[in-house]
Amino acid sequence: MKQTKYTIFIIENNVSDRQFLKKILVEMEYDFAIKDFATGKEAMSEMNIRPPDLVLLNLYLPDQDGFFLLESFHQKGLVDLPVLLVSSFDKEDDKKKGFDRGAIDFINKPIVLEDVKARVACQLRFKRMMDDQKWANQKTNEGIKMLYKELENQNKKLLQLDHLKDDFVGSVSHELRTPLAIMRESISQIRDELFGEVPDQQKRYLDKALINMDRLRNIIDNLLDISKIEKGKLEIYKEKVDLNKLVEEIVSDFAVKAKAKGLILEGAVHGTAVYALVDPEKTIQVFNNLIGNALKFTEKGSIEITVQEEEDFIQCKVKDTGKGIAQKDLHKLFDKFQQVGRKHGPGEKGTGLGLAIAKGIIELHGGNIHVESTEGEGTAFFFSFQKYIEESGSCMSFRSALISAIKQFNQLSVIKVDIRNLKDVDAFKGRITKSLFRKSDRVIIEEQHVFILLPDTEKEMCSVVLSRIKGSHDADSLGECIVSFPIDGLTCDELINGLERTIEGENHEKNISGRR
Amino acid sequence: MAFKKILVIDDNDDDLLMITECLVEADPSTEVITALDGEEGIRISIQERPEVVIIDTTLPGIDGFETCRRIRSGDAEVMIIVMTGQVNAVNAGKAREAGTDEYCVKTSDCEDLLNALRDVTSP
Amino acid sequence: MKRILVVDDEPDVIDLVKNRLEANRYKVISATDGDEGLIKAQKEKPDLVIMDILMPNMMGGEAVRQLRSDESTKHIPIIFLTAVTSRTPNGDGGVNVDGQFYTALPKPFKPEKLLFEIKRLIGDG
Repeated sequence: MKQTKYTIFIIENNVSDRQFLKKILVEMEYDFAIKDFATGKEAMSEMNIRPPDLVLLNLYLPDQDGFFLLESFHQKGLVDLPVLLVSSFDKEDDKKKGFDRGAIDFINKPIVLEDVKARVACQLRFKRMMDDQKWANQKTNEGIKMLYKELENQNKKLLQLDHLKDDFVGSVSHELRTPLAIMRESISQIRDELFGEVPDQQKRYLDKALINMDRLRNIIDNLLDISKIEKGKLEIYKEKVDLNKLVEEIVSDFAVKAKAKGLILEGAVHGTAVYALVDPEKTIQVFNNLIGNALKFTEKGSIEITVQEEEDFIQCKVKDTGKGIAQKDLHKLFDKFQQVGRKHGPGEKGTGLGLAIAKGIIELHGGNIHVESTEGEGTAFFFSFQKYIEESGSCMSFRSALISAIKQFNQLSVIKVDIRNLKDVDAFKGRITKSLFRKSDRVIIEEQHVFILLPDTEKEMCSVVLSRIKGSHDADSLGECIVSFPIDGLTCDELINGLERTIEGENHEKNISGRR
Repeated sequence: MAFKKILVIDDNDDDLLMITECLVEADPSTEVITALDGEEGIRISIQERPEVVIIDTTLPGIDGFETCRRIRSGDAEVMIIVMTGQVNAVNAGKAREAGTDEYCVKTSDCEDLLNALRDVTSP
Repeated sequence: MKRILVVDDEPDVIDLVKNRLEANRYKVISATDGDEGLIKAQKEKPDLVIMDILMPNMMGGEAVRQLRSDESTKHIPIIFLTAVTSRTPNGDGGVNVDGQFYTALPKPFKPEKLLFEIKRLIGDG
């Protein structure tokens, strides 16, 4: 074993005792260096250069007594230095005084060879053990510090990589759009014969180019969406949506494609509205992705879409009679870039992101999605959305509009109109639609009230909008009130309270002017 | 810390490459030889007589501690560094007992290993 | 004839939009950055401005801000045509400048959609 060589000091003024001790130590089989001193002074000056690992110290030296030396060792910080006192211990309290000052053991004079050997060996073994333990602890501490540092570095690197990836997806997507726009519009203009007549056959190929450029744009959009979903930055704006009507519209969009493939496409419509609290755009995206998928993998039979109102949620289903998915592939179906068991015609390839996006959107809505499939028989996707509940619906829309106003440091105004006394509600609704010019404006129509949410609008402006909406005399019978964020309150509850307090029975004109 | 020849014993190819790169970068004149398990490491250390042997603790067959013990028993002078991914005082004690000169953790920048190499050369 | 100012730093985009608009009997004026766009808008008083967003010298958003603060140009309708936005929170087609909401069409755009938006804002050429 390769270890540091120990040094032992013998401090003994008696020549023959000193020689004897030295001889005993040399005979021991340990590999250590021995230094012997006749005076305390000599030993101390050597001690300052390199302290020993063990000291044999005579208690009564001519220049300094042993107790004094023991104290000096302590003062020099050599607290752990093992010292064996060598003495005849004539005085009764010598041993106690020695122990008190840090001596670790004693060798009685006259010196007995076996006694010295045993005690020195014992101390050296102990010293070795202590040193090894100290070494191991020190190395472990250093190592843990180093690992911690490594972990921090790795973490930093991962974060950087993650940002890099996000930035990359974002900027690459944008960089691709301009050239793609130029290509698409160039071909589109040739196709539309802006520069002269184009034979039909050429038109067909230009159409192919256009379709594939739109596909490319779709891929870019999907990449951006998935990167937003992963970052948690895809924002959803929930409102009251009739899912049955939504499905009906989507089904009619896909009707031509389904017919061309000879497939029956059914969106089960029972005429009754099924209200969900969802982001309509994102929900359309979910249905589009799932129905698009079903169309791709179904050669004959049907695709059936159902919307079922359950007690606590709305269950949707997109079921096809397509080729199905192997059991072993089902678990990775919703992973990114998974093209599970795909074999379909040209121009039909997807991005491998559709299902991942659908899942992301559904989960952002607080719902879930799962799949059941039998190979050769078909596949069914089941997914759920939150039910729209009358009391909370307007509140939720309100809340999400408020959240986005807060996020964008914008204002938000809400007009609440009492329509209970209104004769022609439909005409009124029509006027609301005509009076709102911006896509960001939202109208929530309930049985007794209409809420108009106007983002980025000052309270002053609301009366202008209101006068546009009221238009005819019949509006006089309305009761209305306006609250604005941030001037009337900073939380949804504060604003709703404001709306509820002011609407009951008050003269609306006074109400508005009073609030200006 | 100029060493002519260093032997690295590690069963992970990627780690071997990483350590070799670190060592060569620290001193381009160093010749780094590698072994993938303890037995091979012991054989090469006898044949090649490296000045330093770096041993990973987890090795297939005989582990890093035993490898250290056997190399030490045949050569009192060679400098041995036991390197680990699972640092703890028990392992450090075992390495010490097996006759290592240094004990360090494996990190991607080899900082602790390079420190250990510096330490084994200083008196 | 209605006149439309197209502001975009890509000459090819200007060229193509110009073709398309002229084919639909609009007159087109163009500028290649926000600065130039602002000057031309003030001088020519077009019926509509089609504005890119990421441009050298002056970004589209800032140009629109300045158009809005000038009495002689504040009424001119604006459509953003840009690569920066694909889908906005309220479906496609929105950019917010100082709390004002503007129609935005993402690049690549469908010509029929661009023409529809123009017609909606200023009518036929």
